[in-house]
Amino acid sequence: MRLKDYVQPDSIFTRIVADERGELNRIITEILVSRYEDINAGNLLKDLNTQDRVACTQGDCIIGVPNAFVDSLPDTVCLVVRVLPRTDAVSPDTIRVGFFVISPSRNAMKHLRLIARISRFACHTGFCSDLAAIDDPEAFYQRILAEDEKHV
Amino acid sequence: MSEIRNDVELLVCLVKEYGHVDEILAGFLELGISGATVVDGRGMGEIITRDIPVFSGLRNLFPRGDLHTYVILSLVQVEVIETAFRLVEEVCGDLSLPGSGGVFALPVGRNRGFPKQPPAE
Repeated sequence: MRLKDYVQPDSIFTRIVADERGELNRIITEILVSRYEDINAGNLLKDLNTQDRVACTQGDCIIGVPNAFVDSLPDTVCLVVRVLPRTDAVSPDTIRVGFFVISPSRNAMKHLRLIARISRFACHTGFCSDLAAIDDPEAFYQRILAEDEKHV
Repeated sequence: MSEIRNDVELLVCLVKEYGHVDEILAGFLELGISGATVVDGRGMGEIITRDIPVFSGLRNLFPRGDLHTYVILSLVQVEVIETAFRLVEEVCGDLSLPGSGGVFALPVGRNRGFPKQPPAE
């Protein structure tokens, strides 16, 4: 399994402004609803808020992996976001980088494997802080690809 | 009758840091390995230097012997074994260094209770 099979340049957002996770999940839900038909926004947002997990914390840099199952999706999708807080006084558990994994329930194993890979990357020092510092979407994408190539 | 299987081997990982266990199990999921047992163990170095007083001053002869050992056991498809080895080495570092743990695989004889898994996509 490779992240590059699920993360495409058009699934990267490096300037999402949000102060707390609920707001971030709302923004991502709106993006997904605009891209895919037949998504129930209310259910997706509820699921994202429920499955809003943190993969790893490195200092003040937190990678979140909110995930949900949406059966109307044709395949697993992964949106990656870099979160910009509006102020310095953000909640200490605010994520800086989020990997949103959404799958149809028939892809449960693929869903699990993708989250496992992201959680492994998140354990490596520097990955989150690197991503949190990259503003350019293409450079952000290349940093993810580099990490993807580095690991078994 | 018990079936003798050639499609799987018993993968045994000896891991010295608990943080590595998490990462290895996550890596196993990526490889399609969905089952494993982790045993909290004590290595020879730990027992000798902690429990047998005459050796207590010789800890430096047992590199990382003061660390716990975690044993990960899993029946793994033979075609995934080499990748699993590389995964464990990636997580744990150079396994040729003393006290860094290790990984090996053994053939499985008769067995029950391990249904065949569909191949990972």
